Amino acid sequence: MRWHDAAVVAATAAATALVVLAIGWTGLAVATEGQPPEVKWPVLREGGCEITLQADQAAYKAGDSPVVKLVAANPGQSPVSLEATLRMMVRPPVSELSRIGPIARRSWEHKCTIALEAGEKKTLSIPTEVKAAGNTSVFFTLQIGKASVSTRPLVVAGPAGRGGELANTLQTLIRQQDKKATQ
Amino acid sequence: MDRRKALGVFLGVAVGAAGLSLRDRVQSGRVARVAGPLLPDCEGALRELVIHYVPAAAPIVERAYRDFLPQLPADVTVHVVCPDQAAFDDLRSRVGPVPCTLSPVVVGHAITCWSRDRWLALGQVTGGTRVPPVTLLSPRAEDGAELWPARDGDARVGQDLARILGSRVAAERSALHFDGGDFVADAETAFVAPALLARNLQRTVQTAEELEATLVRLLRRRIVLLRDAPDHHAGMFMMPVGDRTVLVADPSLARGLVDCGEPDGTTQRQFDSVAAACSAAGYRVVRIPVVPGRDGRTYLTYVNAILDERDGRRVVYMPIYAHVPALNEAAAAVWRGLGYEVRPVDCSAVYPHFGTLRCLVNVLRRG
Repeated sequence: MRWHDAAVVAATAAATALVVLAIGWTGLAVATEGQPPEVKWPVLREGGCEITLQADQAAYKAGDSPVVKLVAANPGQSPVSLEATLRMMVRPPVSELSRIGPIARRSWEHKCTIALEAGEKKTLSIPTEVKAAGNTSVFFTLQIGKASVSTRPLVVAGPAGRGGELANTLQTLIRQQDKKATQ
Repeated sequence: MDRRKALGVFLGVAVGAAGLSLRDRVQSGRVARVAGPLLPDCEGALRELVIHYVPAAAPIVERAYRDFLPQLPADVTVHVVCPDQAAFDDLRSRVGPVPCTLSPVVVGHAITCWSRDRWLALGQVTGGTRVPPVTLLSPRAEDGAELWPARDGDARVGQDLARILGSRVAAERSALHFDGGDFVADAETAFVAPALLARNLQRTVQTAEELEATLVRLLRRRIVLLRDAPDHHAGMFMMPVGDRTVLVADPSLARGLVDCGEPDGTTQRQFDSVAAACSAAGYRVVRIPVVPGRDGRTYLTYVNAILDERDGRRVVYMPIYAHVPALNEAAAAVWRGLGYEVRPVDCSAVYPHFGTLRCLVNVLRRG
């Protein structure tokens, strides 16, 4: 009978330990390796509306003219009109020996009125009509009143040379990440 | 449930918990995960520093290290992160004999020469011989890591140090984007550059308030998130110096000392805004000359310094620049007025690359 008791205790302990390890292992893996995902496109909330700032591509190549997209929604009960300023900022190439990159410069600005009826949602596509220079990065900002948001930097691959090759590699990486994010 | 099964569950939970604990220790390669408050810039004696060295950057860093390293006390250990042993030997031959201990940390991959931005040291400042544990908090990612192998390598240095230095140094990766230079701190407050908000708002956090709450939790310090400041790392325009005093750079004080023209109104206002924010946070503000370049990145700054406090004395390793002796002396006088012994470090070759001494040197431990 004692052998039977010991076997029951051992079997229960083994099963419990396995469950604890399985749960804990997964939990620890998340704690040490997992990070909350980044917000892909920023959202500016103003006047009761939500405006998502997007670019038409996750990365560009030299000579592309980026197009900015605003996805604007007014969930409220009354019409809203917002005065918005869009900018494209360009950061020149980074020297490998520099601590940080140069300050980004404004290369394009556009002012517009976003008019939304109650409950309306619409997408505005605004071409920058600026040809992006290679081996740089660009980002877009949206300002309404004192509030503003910016996209993450988007790489502009160069036509040739090391920077271009590396930038092209980055484009591939970004596309892979975006593909994963949408799956 | 009968007693046999209850005993089995109890034993199973104990064994499982022990297994997880062992797994954590083995995986992390250290005794225990630790975290503490953000290490202050101005309190406690320097014990362990970290610099990076790559021979390609010798023209930038050699003079600064030949000035800095020989002036450090003998009880300071400088961990030199290098891609290989040959790089470490190259540095040793360039700086010559030094009283401090130079210890190689060979990581086997590309790195830049900038140590400061790679991680924040979280740990207690303790006196005596006790060696407090430190957690190195690395940013979520390095800007440009996908483009430059050296930046990609920089992103791994926190983990490299924890792996190579063994127990009492742990490494964690933050969910936030930051550079170490975005922060300066004393034992009470961490001052944070506005760039941190720009990097994280609508990317890793929804609001500025959420960012502040996250920083308080991570750094265990009061957070002063600067809203209007020069577009640079905080360590380039301000430095806490102890006794609830902050040194804030002032372009107008360079007038007459160096031929740099008048600072434009916006630039001067940004530096003054930092001073006002520090005053509003309850700090005494002392101003010190600075020459901010028109590119917004190249600074002749005197606050990007390494501070040491030991045996009742305060020492500042202060960057200086060739051809501006009057400016150097005016800055040194400000530090001396705060009770610091000034040990100059020539950063003439460093500043054109948008950083100076504190950007090169990170502090791992104070005691």
